[in-house]
Amino acid sequence: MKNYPARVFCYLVVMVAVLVVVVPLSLVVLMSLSDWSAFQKDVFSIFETGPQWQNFVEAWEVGKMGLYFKNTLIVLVMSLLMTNVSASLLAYSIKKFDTRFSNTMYYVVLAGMFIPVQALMLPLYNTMSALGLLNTYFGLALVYSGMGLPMATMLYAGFYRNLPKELLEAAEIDGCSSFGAYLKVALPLSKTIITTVSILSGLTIWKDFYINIIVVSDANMKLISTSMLAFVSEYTTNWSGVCAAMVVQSIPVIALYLLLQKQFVNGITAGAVKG
Amino acid sequence: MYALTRRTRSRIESVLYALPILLIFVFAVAIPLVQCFLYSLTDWKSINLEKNFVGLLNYVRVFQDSVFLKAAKNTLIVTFFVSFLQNAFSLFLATILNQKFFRGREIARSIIFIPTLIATMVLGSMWRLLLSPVRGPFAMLLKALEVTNRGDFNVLAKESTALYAIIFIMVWQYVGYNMLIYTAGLNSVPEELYESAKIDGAGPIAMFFRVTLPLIMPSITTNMFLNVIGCLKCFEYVYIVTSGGPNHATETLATYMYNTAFGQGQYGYGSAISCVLFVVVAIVGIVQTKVLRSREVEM
Repeated sequence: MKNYPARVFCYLVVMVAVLVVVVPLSLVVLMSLSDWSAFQKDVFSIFETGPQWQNFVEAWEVGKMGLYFKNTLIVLVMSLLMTNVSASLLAYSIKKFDTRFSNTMYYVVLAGMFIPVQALMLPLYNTMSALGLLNTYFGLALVYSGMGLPMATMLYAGFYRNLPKELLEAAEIDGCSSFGAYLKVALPLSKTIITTVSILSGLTIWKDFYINIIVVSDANMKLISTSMLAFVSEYTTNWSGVCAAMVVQSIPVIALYLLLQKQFVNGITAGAVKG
Repeated sequence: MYALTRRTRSRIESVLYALPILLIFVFAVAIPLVQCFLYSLTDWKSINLEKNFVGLLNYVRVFQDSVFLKAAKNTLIVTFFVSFLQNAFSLFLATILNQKFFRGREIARSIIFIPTLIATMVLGSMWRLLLSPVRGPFAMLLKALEVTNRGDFNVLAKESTALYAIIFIMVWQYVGYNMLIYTAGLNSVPEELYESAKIDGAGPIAMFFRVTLPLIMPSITTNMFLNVIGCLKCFEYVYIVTSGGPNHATETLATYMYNTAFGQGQYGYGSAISCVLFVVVAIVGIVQTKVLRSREVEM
């Protein structure tokens, strides 16, 4: 395309799109570094007062962000472990045994994809309460795994289906049990699927909002994603602190994305294509 | 174990392998789903402890409830506008950013993708603050430029604009997601097709409609269905930014269910709304799978 006006047009469109994304986000960063009352008088007060780092200190302490990051990390690890193990085991048994039971189970789990989580909010609260899992890491991880299973199972099953059966048989001839073949052959080969499933489910947990407000009421058990609910009230006087909290809790996921960009892109496109 | 036949052994083993997923599924999905349906047949409220069986009465009530109908209408408006705008913008941007002459496209793609990664709670609070008539920077700017008085710029509190503000926020966050899927679709179109279209004298616009569009149909259906199902279930932004107000102007099916069940303590009636929502999403989901399947056969 040697058509220069068209090229200029293309650059302009992208520039506008980038600005529409960047301006609101940078306003938050600007507010997080400004003194709130000075900001109310002059948006660019930061040039007179200098960056107000104490907003971040306040956000970290008042928002108990250290605790919430820890909670989130524990739940993430537990849930990703449960999702990956249970989905890969079912997918492996479909490949290995191909029984009516394992195939039925597969379709039942996939049907879970149609269930809007919101529809389950009230009964989930009651089920978790009956099991004594309200305000526990395990309760949260269990529900998140339940949400992530359809996609995970689909990705694992698709991957194992194309795995040559000879590989698994060879392992059994070498003396492995069927479970040994799973541990020593199938699982090590599924590194890309493990990454994909972990990124997709991890993002859902990271961004989740409703499961968290249902299963957790104890202020010390909250995850980082809902920690701000208490923080953001109409009567907040230091909105700069709120903005600082927003910045702090967004940094890890953006950093992770920039580090693992290729895996993120592959994971999301794989997830979308599969359904 | 060795006395068993090979087939019986396979059966037992396959059950053992499915056990973890079965347990998670039963407790996190199946039991709550059945419970939801059972609650919807009762008059359970937070004020009276006992639940009385009322049959399908709640379902009759759902379709006579003017707020429910308003919520259904709002949900459809959100679904229509978000799906349409998000796909149009993201396909447009993906096509431009796929042009070979474009410098810095990786950076532009990453920037447009970033909102997708940030927690909904953060972005919801962010927009509530940015659009606030009192303390929001946009209101301040409009005041400084003497366009409006402070307090007059209040898109979230006006019934006529609040829903469109929500639509804007949703599109704003997820354009990057659709764009990623379209970029993958665009990259799968074989280069030779463009070459031969060029030889036939096709301009860039004709090329887009005659070559690109038919070949990226799979990405379009995927994105459309993801958006439609996502919007039918839309909850978080409404809950965080407007809580369904003003005067139910932004109420969606999911927030109405939440407000009825948790806000007013009408558990039985709220569950009936849940079940209606579930059926709607399930029907759309089943149609989606059918379409995806038939598409797989064609390819």
